[in-house]
Amino acid sequence: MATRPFTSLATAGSVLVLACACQGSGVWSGPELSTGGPTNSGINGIPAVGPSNHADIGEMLLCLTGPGRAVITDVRPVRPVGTVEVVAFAVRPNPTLRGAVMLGSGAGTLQDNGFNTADRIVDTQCVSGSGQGYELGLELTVPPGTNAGTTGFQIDYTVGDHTANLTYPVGAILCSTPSVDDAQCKDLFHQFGLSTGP
Amino acid sequence: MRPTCPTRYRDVRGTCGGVYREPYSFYDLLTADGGPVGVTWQWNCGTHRAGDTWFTASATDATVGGGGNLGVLSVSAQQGYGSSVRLKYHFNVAGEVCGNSSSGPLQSSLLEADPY
Repeated sequence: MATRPFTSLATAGSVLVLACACQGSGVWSGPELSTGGPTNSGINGIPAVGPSNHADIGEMLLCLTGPGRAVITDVRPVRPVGTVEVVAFAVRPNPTLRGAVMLGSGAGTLQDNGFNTADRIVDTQCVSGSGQGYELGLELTVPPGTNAGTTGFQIDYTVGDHTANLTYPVGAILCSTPSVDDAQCKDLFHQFGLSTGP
Repeated sequence: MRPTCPTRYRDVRGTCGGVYREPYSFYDLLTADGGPVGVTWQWNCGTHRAGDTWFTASATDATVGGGGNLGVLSVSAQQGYGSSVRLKYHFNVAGEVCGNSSSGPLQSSLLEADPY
């Protein structure tokens, strides 16, 4: 009985050492994709979304923690309720730095909202509070007649041969109903702990 | 809990003779007054369509006490995730949320919402 805790401790210690060794051999010292600073979470509630009426969201600033070049390879919803489809994603230089505004939420394609879907590279180093970086835009939809939502999106990217991801705490609640105040949409908001009422 | 406080503004006279209303107190976090955004924030904005709703967790429940409803744009505080309070902006007409950071509204500590 007296040796059991010691054995467990010794085993745990070995695992810990092994885990540290594995991590140590694969530590990435290059740049990582970053939000560029403390970021508040946000959720866009968008009605009337469907296959012929996509929703677009933006305002997600991205930059790199060091010199380099990140290529965004995929964007996917984090633990969605229902099916949130990412139709397209793209970045553009932060518009606020040239006297234009970001995309909060919109409709249509990303091109309609000033993005080029071929642009998926982030190569600007973060400078805290400067706004230096790129705005990520997403074109989203839901299957016909359904409602779906997520509290954030996982951004998969590569820097050279290094693959990593960043979760951005900007979500979307997408309703096929004409208004966010329609009952089915309200129910979905409630599932996220939110209310559409005053 | 602090009491709900009115929105506080000061007028800023531009070099070309224009006068801008610029928020200066924390309570402008809840602003939805229909006036133009402060000149220093005028590009730090995200646009929103009529009918859309935008939630953000930008404040703690110690500093938010109420909201405003102007018919075209409503702002309210509601309890959300964790210990923070979510601010809800509902756009009955197209509008924008602007903040005090050039990194955008999500990285701003102060926000203002206005209809177009």
